[in-house]
Amino acid sequence: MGEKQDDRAFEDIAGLIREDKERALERFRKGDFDQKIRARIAAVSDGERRPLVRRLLVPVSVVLLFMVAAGALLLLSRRRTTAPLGGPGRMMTVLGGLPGISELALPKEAIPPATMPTSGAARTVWTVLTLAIEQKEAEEKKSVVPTGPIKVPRLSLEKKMEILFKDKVIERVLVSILRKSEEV
Amino acid sequence: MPTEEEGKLFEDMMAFKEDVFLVCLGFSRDPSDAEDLTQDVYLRAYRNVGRIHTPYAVKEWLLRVARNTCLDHQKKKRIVRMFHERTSVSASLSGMEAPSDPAETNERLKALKQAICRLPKKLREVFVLRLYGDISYQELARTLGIKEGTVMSRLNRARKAVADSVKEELDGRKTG
Repeated sequence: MGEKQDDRAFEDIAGLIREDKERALERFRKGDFDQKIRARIAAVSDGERRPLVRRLLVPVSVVLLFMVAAGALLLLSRRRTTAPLGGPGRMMTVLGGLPGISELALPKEAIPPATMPTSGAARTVWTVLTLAIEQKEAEEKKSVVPTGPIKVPRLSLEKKMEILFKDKVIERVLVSILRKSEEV
Repeated sequence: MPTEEEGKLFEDMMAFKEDVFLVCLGFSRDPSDAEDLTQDVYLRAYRNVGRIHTPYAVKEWLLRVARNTCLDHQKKKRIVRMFHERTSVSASLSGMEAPSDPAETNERLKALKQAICRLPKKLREVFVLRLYGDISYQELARTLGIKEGTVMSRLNRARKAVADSVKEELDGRKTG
């Protein structure tokens, strides 16, 4: 009895659904679905069809960014080893050979340690440059002739005589001019 | 952008537009919503047509897309529907009312739609796909990824729940 009632109820529901479907389908068939969906797909495709450069811009940028980041991390994580040929020492030798720097004496504690770079080579360059700047400033203030070993070329006896002769001539001329000016 | 072969596959899919529409109708309760949802389904299918590995299973795949699209849509609209349930049902049904249709049919349809909406998700999808999409038990099982026996038991429970709910709704209106 109950089963029959259930069957009748199901049939009733199935009939309702059939009716609902028929009504909706009738309406659906009237509207041109194919045309609508094609227009919508075309609109979406136009939006997605961007120039190649613009499409590649973001992925390429991201890849580059990752590569730079990876490179930076690699450099940071890499153990620092001493450079061949002595590293900072070699640098000092090269810098010492440069004119103007070769005459500088490098005091070890000239600069406070806190402000100095930690890297060996950078520390050497920084010390040399700071010292050169300080010395130049001192020269400008005091107008003192720089001390230190000056290389003097060796002269022959004849050359020395020539210089002395010229020196005496200039001295006499200057003295005679001085006397004349006193008389005037 | 689909290839030529995929484009052809998409054209084949267009043969099932009415099936997709009916499934969407079962989930959405409103023919115009169902049409919008059908468009969404085909748009999604167009974008993902390359994922079909077995062309003979196009209908199942398409109905699965339809079911997922409808469930997503329902999820989005759940809160709004909670507040506007009654008005939306009456509005949707008033829109499809034909002059020759008796008022009683509309009342029963309204009750049916509400009953379907009240079903739990698992029962609702089986009910809609079977009764609106006319899908066989075997296809249903494959589409939902469940056993045929589970499909049958869920469908039975759904039918019974809908029948009871419709009866209650109509009895309530008659007495009220």
